[in-house]
Amino acid sequence: MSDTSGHEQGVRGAQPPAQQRAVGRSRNDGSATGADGPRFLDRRWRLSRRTLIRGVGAAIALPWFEAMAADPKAAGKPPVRMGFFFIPSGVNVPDWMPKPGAGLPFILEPLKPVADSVLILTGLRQDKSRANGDGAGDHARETGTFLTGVQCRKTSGTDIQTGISVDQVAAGHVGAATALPSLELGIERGGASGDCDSGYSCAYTSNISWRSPTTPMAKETKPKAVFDRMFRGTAPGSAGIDGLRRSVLDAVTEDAGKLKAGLGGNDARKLEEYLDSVRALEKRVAGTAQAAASERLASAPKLDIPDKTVDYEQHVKLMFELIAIAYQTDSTRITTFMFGNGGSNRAYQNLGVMGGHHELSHHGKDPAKLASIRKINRFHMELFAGLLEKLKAVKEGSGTLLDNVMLCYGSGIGDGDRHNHDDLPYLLAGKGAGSIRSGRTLAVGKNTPACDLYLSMLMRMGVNVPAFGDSKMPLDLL
Amino acid sequence: MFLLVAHRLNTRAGLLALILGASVTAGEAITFERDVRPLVETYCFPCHGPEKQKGDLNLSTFTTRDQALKASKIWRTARHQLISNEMPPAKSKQPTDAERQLVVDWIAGLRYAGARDPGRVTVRRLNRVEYTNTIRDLLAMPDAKPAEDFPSDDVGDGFDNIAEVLSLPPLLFEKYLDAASDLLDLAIVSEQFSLKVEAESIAGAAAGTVQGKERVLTAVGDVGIAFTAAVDGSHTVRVRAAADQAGNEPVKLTLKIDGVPVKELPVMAGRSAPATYTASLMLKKGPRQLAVSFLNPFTEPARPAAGGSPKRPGAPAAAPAGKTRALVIDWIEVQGPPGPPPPESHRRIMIAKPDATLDKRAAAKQVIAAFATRAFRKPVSEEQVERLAKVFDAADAKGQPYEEGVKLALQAVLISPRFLFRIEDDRPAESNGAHRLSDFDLAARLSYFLWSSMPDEPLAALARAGKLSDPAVVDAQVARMLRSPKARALTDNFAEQWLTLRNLDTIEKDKVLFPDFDPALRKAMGDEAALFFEMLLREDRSVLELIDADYTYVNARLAKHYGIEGITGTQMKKVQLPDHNRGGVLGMAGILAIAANPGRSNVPKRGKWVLEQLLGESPPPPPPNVAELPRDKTAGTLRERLEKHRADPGCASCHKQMDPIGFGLENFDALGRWRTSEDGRAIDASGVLPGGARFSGPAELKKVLLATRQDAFVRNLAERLLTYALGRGLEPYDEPAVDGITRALAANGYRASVLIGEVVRSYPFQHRRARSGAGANP
Repeated sequence: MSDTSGHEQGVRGAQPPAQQRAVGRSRNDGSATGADGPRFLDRRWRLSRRTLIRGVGAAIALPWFEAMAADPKAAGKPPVRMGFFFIPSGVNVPDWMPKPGAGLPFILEPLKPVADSVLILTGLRQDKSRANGDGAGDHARETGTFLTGVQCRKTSGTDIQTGISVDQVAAGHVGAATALPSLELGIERGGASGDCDSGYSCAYTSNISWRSPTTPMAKETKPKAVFDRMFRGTAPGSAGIDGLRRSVLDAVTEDAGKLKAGLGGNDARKLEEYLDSVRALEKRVAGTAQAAASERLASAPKLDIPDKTVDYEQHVKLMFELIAIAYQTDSTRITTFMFGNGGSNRAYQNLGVMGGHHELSHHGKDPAKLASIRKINRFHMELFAGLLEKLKAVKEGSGTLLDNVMLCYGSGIGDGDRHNHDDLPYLLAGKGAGSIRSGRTLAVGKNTPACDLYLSMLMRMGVNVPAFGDSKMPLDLL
Repeated sequence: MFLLVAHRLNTRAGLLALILGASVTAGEAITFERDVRPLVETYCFPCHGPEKQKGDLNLSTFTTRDQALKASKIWRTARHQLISNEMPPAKSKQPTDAERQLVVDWIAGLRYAGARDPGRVTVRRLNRVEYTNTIRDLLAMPDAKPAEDFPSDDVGDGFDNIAEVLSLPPLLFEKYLDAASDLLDLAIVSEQFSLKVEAESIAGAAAGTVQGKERVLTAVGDVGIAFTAAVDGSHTVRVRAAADQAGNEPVKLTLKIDGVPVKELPVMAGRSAPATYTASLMLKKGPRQLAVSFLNPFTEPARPAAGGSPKRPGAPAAAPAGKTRALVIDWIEVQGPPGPPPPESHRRIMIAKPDATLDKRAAAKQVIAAFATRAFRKPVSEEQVERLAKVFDAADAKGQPYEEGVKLALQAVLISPRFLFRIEDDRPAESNGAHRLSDFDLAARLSYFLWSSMPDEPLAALARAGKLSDPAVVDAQVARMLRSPKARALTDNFAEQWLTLRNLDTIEKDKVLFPDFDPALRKAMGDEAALFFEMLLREDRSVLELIDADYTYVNARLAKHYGIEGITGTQMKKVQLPDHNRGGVLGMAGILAIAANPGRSNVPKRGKWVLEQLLGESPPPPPPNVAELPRDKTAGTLRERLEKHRADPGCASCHKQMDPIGFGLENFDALGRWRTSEDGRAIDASGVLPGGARFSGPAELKKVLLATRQDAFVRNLAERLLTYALGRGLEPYDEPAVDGITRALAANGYRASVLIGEVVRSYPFQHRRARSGAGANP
């Protein structure tokens, strides 16, 4: 259990991390004992009734802010949120890497309005995305390793294995404070057929979030389903049914436990995975988080979600609206998002680009392909910058929501043609509640593990783990 | 067939060996360590050894026969390349013919020689398709689409039904629970709710006093009843009541829901003639309190009513002095909104209903036991039923109606691992540490293989009767099941994944170059391939027609695309083709479009597709940092540019295999349209396969493929289908089973029914490694 112990503990809420306790205490001295920490937070949110918010873009009072205002004694801070944004197949490097003295490079230009909240990181490496003897399959590895820092086992069938991803480590520790411990989003569903990359399972290319080394956190690609997931349990009169749901879950847990005892090896592992998912749901049913859903919904901006999205741009924008709402209503503090699956060959015809993304990324220094790649890179960045501006427009405490997030944007490949996994394009947006000095480029030493960045992000979430993935030491972001 | 060919070659090899006087004479066993590995080291290691690993292949990792056996596919490919003189490449040091033959012979004999082992399939979660089909059959809801929002199932070994990779993340479990609840709400309807309570029998804190069969209130107070509204909607409340009037307003009866007054009714009837007062109230689903309240008690002073106060119309005449207002309640009735007529699903599931002779718990247990037996695909124990009945009890204790309690227990069935997973029973091991599947487990394997769904009643009945150990019975079932429309699942799930047709939904084409590629064409492309496969099964044709046929299926849209005249309508129709360019999967626009780029055809990609999907050989992806093909068209035709590319030795070995096949399909553009020229240059669709076979154009390519690679195709098809049927990747010990299937196919004209029948008859399909058996999973 060594690697997962923190995760498990967090899930059971035995000892909430220091930061949460501190927030709790500030509101109500003495009441925030260990087990009450997360629960208490939820009660605090209940102060925030009927804040009808028109749109994320509008300047609005946040639930927690209202709570703070109602109780000036409260010295608590808004929670820090963490997000990861994955772009496949690297970037057009010269148009990403900032040059000293020059303005923002072409791809990063859309960040201009929020540049003071962005920290550009150069020099990070994903060592475990390299072949290291496993041969081809860089796109599976750029994805499967992106948030785990662990070499994926090369397999297209049985025994997929990587590591627990950074977002899930965080969710294990602080996820209990919110209705959803974490939220996994993306645009493209999992691979439809065949192995997805040179003998690597599609599980690697279609997921960046891993609950355990063998269980990917399936991502949601339908905006409507995301919304439902955040605010379900709000139907009036469902309270009585929820109590009964417990008895349903009890019955299957008991039976599954019995069943598992009679199985061995991989069979038992599958049953354990099942039980783990049941327990996750039990917590949601039992927790106070569920009760707060209607209030969270009441404070959520009105969002018109079509049943079907046809257009990539619209799809991404909706997902970003939902991420903003998730943070804003404190439905979750941890999100992951995939602009595309690993090695995605999407045709960005809206940009006037001919050919698929992956295909183009193997540019062979062809100027036309390089031009197409940078167009795609910039387009993704425009969408991301749109999210940052949205967060900046949301007031929170004495600042904005953007001040209290840490959104890590990057790729597990540097140059799509070289398939290199060092000098990766990475940036960190948001100020982590004042714990990140942004508005600059931070050149970390060459070959610094990206996991060093993740480790420092975990610390800012109040998660104290000695190491993560192949990390050496946390980065100094101040 | 493969073995037959192998034998023929072996005989020839023996002759050759004699003629050439090779060191190993016929009959003497060749060993890997002594005879083969030194040759491999001399001739192969320079490119595929510790120093270089061209094509990602390092043969030096094989030091024993057993290791080689585990990667028999690599060695089979090597054997083919040795026979066709592809390897070692011409410019490299060449083995003598005898040496070459020795390795070829050894590989031919590289057969699994261990103990018979059926393998052990891990418990296997139903994938989205299987879940949907099972729900439809189990609940008799043919149109249910419960899995639309489920996350994609991960794919392993080419299919999305592989036990090991089907994980169950929390998101999916939430969806299972929601689906179970939503589905059962649709499947089972509550009877119209109706509750009538005699006022005198209301116990507890009801106001007033009981007088005979009535309850009389003279002071402010409530007479309340509690019930659970099963649905949201308009409920009818009836109160049989009368009144003693006093004062200048009538007795008022007030209805309260959960303590909140919602309706006021004047009660005019006198005690001699009580009346029924009715109100319609909108109620929310869930536990509710209905109270009948008396709010305006009044006792007249003992003197005549004061004159002068204007009498309201309809108000009772001034009461006699000293009278007291009273509300008299006889009974209270609540009736829910009328439910819809019970659907088929309701009739199928709710096989018992409480009545005078059957109490509700016993009735619920009957329903639960019958449902769980079908859902779990095997008999259920009393303990399991009792555990589920407790869920019913919990609902019952909260005053939920019978149907609601049953629904809740069935929800527990639908999220049980026994339903969501296929869990096969361990039985005592037979001689070799394996055992036959129980009849129930075999029935489930059959139905999920052929139908991607649960066994139907005839199959389940045979399992109950213990008849499935009789091969003739199983054969008859396979034949019956293949005739069912449900067998379309083999096309939708096996063929569509094998032929990568599911990618057709997501491929994109350049809208400027291919404005034609609209949803109708996309759909027709998919339908053509699917229908071709489906009809191949249905008409029991030769599987070789997948490579080459003189017919296909088109509708008007696709016919136009193909330049076929005289086809109208959106319906797909079989058409006879004038030549052999189009027939078979290699001439299908869907497949040609998938194995192409958004803007142009892609020669290596198509070649790779054929090698991978049809012949079961996976050329490795290009090494990083390869120079792209020069885009500039002045650098020559595509063929010239590709040939230049192939001059790079790092690329040559793979492209030599892929490109010729791809060139043979160059008459088809990126959308699979026929063409004879591109950019003003005539298409050159000629090529030479590595073995030296020459062809020009698709028809000849297909002929050559069948002549030289038929065995590889048939073997690959057998392996793929067995993988799909078992839900696990194949292992060396499955080789005898694959051999058996291919042999039977060759002996029976490659008929599709033989392929399927042989997979079902195969040892790994019918058996399972016992838990404590040799080599069991740790």
